[in-house]
Amino acid sequence: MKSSTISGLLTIFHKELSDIFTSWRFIILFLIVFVVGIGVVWSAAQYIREEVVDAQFVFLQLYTTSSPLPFFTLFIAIIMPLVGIILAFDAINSERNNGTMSRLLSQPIYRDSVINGKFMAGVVTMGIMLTALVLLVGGIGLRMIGVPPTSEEAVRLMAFLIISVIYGAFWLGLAMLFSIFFRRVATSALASIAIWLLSIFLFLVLFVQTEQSGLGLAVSQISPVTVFWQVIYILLVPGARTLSQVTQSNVTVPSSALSVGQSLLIVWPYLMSILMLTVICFAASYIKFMREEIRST
Amino acid sequence: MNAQPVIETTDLTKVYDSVTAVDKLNLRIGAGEIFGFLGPNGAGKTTTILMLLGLTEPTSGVARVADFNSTREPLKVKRVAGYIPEKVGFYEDLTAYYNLAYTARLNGLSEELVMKRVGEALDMVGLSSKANQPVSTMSRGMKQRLALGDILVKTPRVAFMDEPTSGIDPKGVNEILDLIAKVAKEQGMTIVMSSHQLALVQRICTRVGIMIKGKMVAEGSVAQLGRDAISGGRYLIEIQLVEITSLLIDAIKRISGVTDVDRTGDMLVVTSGKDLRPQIAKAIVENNGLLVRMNIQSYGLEDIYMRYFREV
Amino acid sequence: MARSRLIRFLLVVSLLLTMFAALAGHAVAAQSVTGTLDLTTQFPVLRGKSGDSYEFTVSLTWNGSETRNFDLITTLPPQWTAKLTRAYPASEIASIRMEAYRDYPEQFELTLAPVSWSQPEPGEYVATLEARSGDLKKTIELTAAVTAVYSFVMTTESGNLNMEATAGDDNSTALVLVNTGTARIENITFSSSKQEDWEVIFTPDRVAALDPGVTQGVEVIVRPLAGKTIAGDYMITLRAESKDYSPDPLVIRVTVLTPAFWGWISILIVIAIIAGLSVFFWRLGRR
Ligand SMILES: Nc1ncnc2c1ncn2[C@@H]1O[C@H](COP(=O)(O)OP(=O)(O)OP(=O)(O)O)[C@@H](O)[C@H]1O
Ligand SMILES: [Mg+2]
Repeated sequence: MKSSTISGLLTIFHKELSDIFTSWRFIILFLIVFVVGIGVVWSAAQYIREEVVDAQFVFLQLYTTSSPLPFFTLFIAIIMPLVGIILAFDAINSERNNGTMSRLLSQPIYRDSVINGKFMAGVVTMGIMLTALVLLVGGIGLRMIGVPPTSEEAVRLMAFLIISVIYGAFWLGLAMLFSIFFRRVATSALASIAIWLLSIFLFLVLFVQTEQSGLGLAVSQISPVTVFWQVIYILLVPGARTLSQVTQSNVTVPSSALSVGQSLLIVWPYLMSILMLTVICFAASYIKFMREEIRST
Repeated sequence: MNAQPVIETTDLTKVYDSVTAVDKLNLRIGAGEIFGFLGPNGAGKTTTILMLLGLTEPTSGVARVADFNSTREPLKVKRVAGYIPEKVGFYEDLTAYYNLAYTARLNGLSEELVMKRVGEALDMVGLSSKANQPVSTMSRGMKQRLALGDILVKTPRVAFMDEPTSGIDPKGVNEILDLIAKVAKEQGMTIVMSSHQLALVQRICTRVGIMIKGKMVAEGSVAQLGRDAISGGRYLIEIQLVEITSLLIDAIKRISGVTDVDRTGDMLVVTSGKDLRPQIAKAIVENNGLLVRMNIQSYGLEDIYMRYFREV
Repeated sequence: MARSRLIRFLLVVSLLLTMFAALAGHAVAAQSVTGTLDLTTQFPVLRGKSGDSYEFTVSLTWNGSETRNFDLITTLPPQWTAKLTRAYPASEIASIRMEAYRDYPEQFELTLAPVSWSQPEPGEYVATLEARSGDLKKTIELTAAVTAVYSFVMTTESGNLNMEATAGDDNSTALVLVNTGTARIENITFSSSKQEDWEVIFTPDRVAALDPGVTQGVEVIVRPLAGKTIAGDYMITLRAESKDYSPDPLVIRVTVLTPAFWGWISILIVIAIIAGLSVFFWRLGRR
């Protein structure tokens, strides 16, 4: 009984993963993310070679330096939502519209396996994508700047990776929630994109904001993009410790660097709020989907 | 009807906001039956099937399939029940084989069993040659057959088919129905099949149920239903003669069991409690009547259906 | 009475003085036939570097009662040459004709120069110039004080002002020191301006003595800090110093390359990722 549940989940997971890795939609997205990501870091490495003399945390600067192109972390903060949305905006409603959901749910599997399997496939995809990207970018960066990451930098990058996946998972969950609530694929896609754009807009308020302690700052905090960006910024710029430093974009390494533990301690609440949002999306998805009637028409 | 029904509902009721889709349905279907589920649009057929499969929750009442409560143990029901939804759908860009293999895997079959079963199922529905084509390249009829294959893969004890013949040409319908009948026989499968194509249902169903506005208004074999519905359980025998004489009418009336004789043109319609054709023939011959044709009137499902329609 | 004696005495004295004066005047007049010759220079010692030429301005004065030709004769230290010229019209001269009773000096130049191939050792070289006419002659000494030239250059052996380096490795480049001066230069030391934590090592770390014209090779090892140095271009400044002379510093562009090890690692990472992704796409793409 138990094992059959897991096997059902794994079957769905495997199929969804295959679907993702064979869909043009995803392959194109994958290529775009890779090309842009590598471009951003290449330009950052170039900049580091020419401009940066401070060799402290130089490997991390690959990911946080703003050369002519905006930096890698910013790119991730903005693109991950899109990845999550593209992976999940039609997860449930397209199956419902195609009539496959009825067939799927008439098999001996728990309903949550459908959501979980799809979610897992999405998260694993994002994990693969981000790990490959960060490593690839690191490899290229290593070749260009010739400085290997210190163990501390490696830990920070690992944390960055995990947090980015969690962040992507939130968007995945949100898009999936919409795909459960909205019957039409176009509606769920538009709703997800709208939230994404709104979040980016709120995030940009951070930068437009001139004084540091304004209403804009508080409003901006609503945006998951802002929250995520704070987290990775504090994590990858070991000297940064407050939001005000985060907004002054091109801070390299301010005075005294924090230890990994201290950085993590600072970002913990923010991280928890991203996790909370993900859990909320998930809970709402469950509540709606678990007892819902599945008609094929 | 067997002592232990495979499908059993007790006062099964489903109420949507304002509509009562299924109203206190009590249904028993025994093992090996092919049950035709009839009714006009919106009668509640699909809703009943959904409740039986645990895809929607009943407002009240109990649905049991193979002795499992559909609401409480939906997984156990789904393990023994196959389902062809009203508008069956497949993953269009995946192959026929993969679609069925997915179903097989979801049922926890081992990889080799998956291969075997899917191969067999595709063979049985005659789609072996299309196994590796994407479903999007298949016609409606092929998809319907594939849906049948989808059920076969899991070798269920019970199969629910919601309008498996809709949108298919007459030849295709016959093929599919034959296939269903064959499968049911070979595998001892109990089948519940909803349809609007009465003549066709009639062909393979051992029993039909007519549902109207959430209620099962009639249930039984087609012949029995016809008699129940139209002549209140009596037989109607039509007789065509060269010449009708009152002598002859009296002679027929005298046959015991004949309740009424009607004359309409050159035809006589005899109403009786049982099949009295031999006795009637004898009476005609004895009275020198010249018999052209005599037949016992059978009732098509159509007639029965229209009849119940008129009632409500 | 006494007064008349005093007057008489004074008269006699004055007479005697007058006579003496007359006699003396006569004697001068008798000598002026031969006249006085003078050969002077305002700056008898000129100082200069080895290989330089020295131009002395010499004045000849003759106030004799007759016109005379004076030969100008120079005596020189070995491997020196001299040239006598007058200012206008420019030409070389060997003798001078001086009018009688000329009361202003004639000026001319004596250029003292080492023969073209020689680089005289530091020291004083004394040339004499004699003006002679019959038994009448005058000599002056003109001294060229040759001072030592302390000079050397430092360049790279190849002439290129750039080098490639790998962090953590010993990256050497060859320098040469050439003494272009005339004096031995002693105790040349080296120093460099570089990135913090880099090592720049000169071998030998000092040169005890470098004789004129001698070339000395010096190897420089540049060792950018391992594991911290960003690949790219850096400028380092190499300096050689001695008490007497310090040449211009050498600014070298050091192109730091990615250490081979990390280069390989990075290639491995990239290959591994591409391979991994390919496997994913291939495995998952197959149904
Ligand atoms: N989600 C819903 N909300 C409200 N009413 C519903 C819902 N689903 C079905 N109904 C109503 O329930 C009734 C039964 O519908 P059902 O689909 O079971 O009919 P059916 O017998 O399958 O009809 P058809 O032959 O057209 O397939 C209909 O009156 C329909 O309008
Ligand atoms: Mg229906």
